[in-house]
Amino acid sequence: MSARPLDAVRDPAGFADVADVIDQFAEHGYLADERLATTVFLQAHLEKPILLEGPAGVGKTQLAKSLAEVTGRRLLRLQCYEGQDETTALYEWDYGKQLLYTQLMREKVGALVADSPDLAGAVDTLAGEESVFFSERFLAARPLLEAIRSEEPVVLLVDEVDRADEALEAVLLELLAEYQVSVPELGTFRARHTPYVILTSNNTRDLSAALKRRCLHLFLDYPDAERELDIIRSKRTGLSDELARQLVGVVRGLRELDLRKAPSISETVDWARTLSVLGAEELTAQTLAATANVVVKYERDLRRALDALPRLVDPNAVVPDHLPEHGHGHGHGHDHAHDHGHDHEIPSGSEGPDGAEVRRAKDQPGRHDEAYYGTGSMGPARSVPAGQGARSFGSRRRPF
Amino acid sequence: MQVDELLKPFPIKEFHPFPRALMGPGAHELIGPEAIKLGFTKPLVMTSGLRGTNVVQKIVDSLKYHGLDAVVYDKVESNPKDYNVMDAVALYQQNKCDSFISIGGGSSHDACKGARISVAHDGRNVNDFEGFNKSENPNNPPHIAVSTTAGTGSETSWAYVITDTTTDPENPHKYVAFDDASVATLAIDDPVLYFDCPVDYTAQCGFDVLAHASEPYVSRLNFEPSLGNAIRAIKLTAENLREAVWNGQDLKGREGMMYAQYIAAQAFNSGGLGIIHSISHAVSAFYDTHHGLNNAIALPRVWAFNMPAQYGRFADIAEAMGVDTHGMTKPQAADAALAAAIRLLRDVGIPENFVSVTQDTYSKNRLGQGPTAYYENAKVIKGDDADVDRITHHVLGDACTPGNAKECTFETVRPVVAHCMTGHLDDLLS
Repeated sequence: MSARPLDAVRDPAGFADVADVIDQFAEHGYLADERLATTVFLQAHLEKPILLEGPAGVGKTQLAKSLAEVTGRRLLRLQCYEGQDETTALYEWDYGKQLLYTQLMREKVGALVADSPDLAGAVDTLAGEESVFFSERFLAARPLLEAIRSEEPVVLLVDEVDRADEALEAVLLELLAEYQVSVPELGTFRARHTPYVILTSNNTRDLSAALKRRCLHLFLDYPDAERELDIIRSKRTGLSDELARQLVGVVRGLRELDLRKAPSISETVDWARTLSVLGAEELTAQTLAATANVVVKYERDLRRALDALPRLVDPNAVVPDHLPEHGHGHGHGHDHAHDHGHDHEIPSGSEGPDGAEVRRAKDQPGRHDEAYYGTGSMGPARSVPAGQGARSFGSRRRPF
Repeated sequence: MQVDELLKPFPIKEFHPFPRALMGPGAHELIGPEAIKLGFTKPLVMTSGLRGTNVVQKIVDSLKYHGLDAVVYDKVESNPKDYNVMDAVALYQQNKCDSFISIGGGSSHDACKGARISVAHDGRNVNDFEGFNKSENPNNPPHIAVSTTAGTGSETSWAYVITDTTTDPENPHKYVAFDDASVATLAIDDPVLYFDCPVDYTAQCGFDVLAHASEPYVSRLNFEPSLGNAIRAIKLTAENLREAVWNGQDLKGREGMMYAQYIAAQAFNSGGLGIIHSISHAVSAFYDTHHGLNNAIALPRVWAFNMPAQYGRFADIAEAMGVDTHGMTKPQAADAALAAAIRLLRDVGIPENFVSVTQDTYSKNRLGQGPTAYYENAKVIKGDDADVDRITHHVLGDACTPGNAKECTFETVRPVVAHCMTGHLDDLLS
C-alpha cells in the first residue's frame, strides 16, 4: 500500500479500494472483514448511510468510532431510546434565550409599537419582526441538524435506532435520503459536506422498509474463529496465543448453547484480559468456571454455561448431571424428625397401603368432575393427538 | 321433559355466601369485642408468627385485655403442611380450646380451616377431606380470620389448600379441599396490617389476586353473579398493585388491594378456578415455592393458552386493566390484556419463568419462624422433561383443572407447563 500522509483529512478519495479500507481500519485497531470493508468503501463513494444490524457487542458502534478516526472526521452521536421525540434528535427553539432577548430589548420593542394606534396595529407591527426571533440565533441544534450544518465533515452515528419509536424513524427519512433538514420557520438546511451516517440496530423490532431502502444494509454477526482471534490479538490482552485460540473455541461453544445473551466479541476480549490478569497458564474447566461471569450475564445462562464448560474444554470429559453445590439427591428429604407429637394415619413403613400408589391415583384427570362440575356436562377429557397443543397457535409465535 | 335431561348441559350453579366481614383501617382492633360476641373463651390462635412484625403480639395482647385465654400455635409454614394442621389439632385438644383465630396470609387461614374440620371429626387426618364437601359434620368450632396479606381471599373462600407430605413423602401432593363447613365465621380485613408486608410478597400476592379474578372470569363454570366481582377485582389490581408494592406504607394502594383480594375470592368461590392454580399447586408441592409467585409465572402462559376459547372475556379484561380497546377486534384486545399483564408482572419485579426463580425467593416463611426443614430440603427447580411430565400429571389431577376455560389433556397442558419452566415471556407477545 502506498504511503499516505496520516494527518490529512481523508474524504472519499482517501479510500483507494476495499483492501485500503481494511488496512486503514487495521491501523486504528479495527479488524474489518471483506464484506464490512466493501460496505464502508461503497458508503464513501455512493454517499449512502449504512444500517448495521446484529447482536450486541459485535462492533457496530465501534465501526462508527473507527470510521471517524480513520477519516479524521468529527463523530456526532444520537443515542436512541423509547419515547424520544424530534426535539432531542433534530432541533428545538431555545425558548429561554428568546425570552431573555425580549426582556432585554423591552424598550426597543416599546419604541417600535409606540406609533401604533391600537392593539391590533401593535400586534401587526410586531409580527413583521417575527423573523428576528425565529432565526438561527435561537435555534438549538441537536445531533441530526448539527451533522447537516457542521462546517467540517462528520460521521453521524445513530445508535440503536430500533429502540426509538417509529415516529423518529420517519423524521430520519428526509435526512437519510437528501442529507437535508427542513425547519419550517427558516427553510431547508442542506449538508455542506455529506456526513457518513451509520445506523445500528439490535433487532428488537423490525425497521421500516422506507428506512432500509435508503441504507446500505449489513448484518454484522459473530466473526469466524480466525478473525475473532485476530481481534483478541489486536487488543493486546496479554493472553498467550495458544490460550487465546482455546478461549475462542470455548466462547464459540457457549454461543451454540441456548443462552439468553450469548457472549459477544467485547466479552471475549474482557475474558481474555481477566484470564491474563489472573495469570492463567492453561485453560481448565475450573479456571473458566471461576471467571465465566465475565461473559455470561444471567443466572440461568451461567448454570448452563457451567454445565457445558468441561465438555467445551475437553470433549471427552464426563459431564455430571449438575454441579455438586446444587445437591440434587433423589427423594425430597422431608425431615421426619420433626416433632409432630401425634401419629399420622398412614405410616411410612411397610404396613398399610402403598403411598406412592395412592398418590398416583390422585393424578387422574376428571376425577373431580362429578363432585362440582355437574354430572355429564363435561365428561371425560377427549384424547388429543400429539402436537395439537403446540399447533393451536400455528400462525403466530406463541408456542401453544 | 325430565329434569335430569335439562340438567345435563346446564348443571345447577352454586353461589357461595360469605361470612360477615369487617373491613377498613383499624378493623383489627375490633377482634376482642367480636370474639366475645361470638362466645369465644379460649381460642387457638394459628399463625406463621409474622417474623419481624409485632402484629401477632398486638392482637394476642388485645385478646388477653378482653379477658380471652388465647393459646398460640405460630409454626404454620408456607404451603401449609399436613403436620402443621395436625400439630395444631393436638394443641387444641390438649388445651381444651373452643374456637379458632387465624392471623396471616392464606397459609395460616388454610391450616386453620383444615384444623377446624379435623377437630369436628375427632382429630381425623386432614388429608381425608381432599375434594368437594367431604366433611360430614358441619358444626365445627367458630373461626375469626385476620388477613395480613392482600392475595389469599382465604378469609372468605370455601376452599383450603394443604400439602400432603405423608402419603408419599417422595412425591408430595398439594391439594384443594372445597368445603362449605370451612368458611370462616368472621373475616377481618385491615389494610393497616399489610403495611409490613415485604415488597416481593406484596407483588406475588397481588398476582394471586389477578389469578383469582381472571380464572373465574373465563372459566367454564362462570355465571352472572360472580362476573361482576371478578372484573372489578382485575380493575382494582391493575390500578393499585404497583402502588401497594412500591409505596407500601401508603393506605390507598393497600386498601385497593384489600378490596381486590376480597372480591376476587368471592368471584372464584362461585366461578371456579383453572390451571393457573393447578400448575401453581404442583410447583409448590415439589419445590415449596410461594403460591403467589407460582401464579404470577403461570398466569401469562395460561392466559395465552385459554384465549382462543374466550377472546371476548379477555377483551373485557383488557379494558379492566386500563387498555383503550376502542377500534380493536376481540383477539387484538385479548392480546393487549396479555401484554398489560406481562407489563404489570415486570413492573413489580417478578421472575419470568420457574428456572429463574432462585432459592432465596422460595417461600421460606420470612414472616414466620424462618426456614423450615421442608424448605431447606427443597430442590432447585430443574425444569427438565421429567419435571415437566411430573408437574403435568399433578395438574391433571387437581380439583381446579376441570373448570379451566379450555379443556385440558396431557398433550395440551404439557407445552404450557414446559413454557412456565423455561420459556420467555416475549414469546407470548404477538
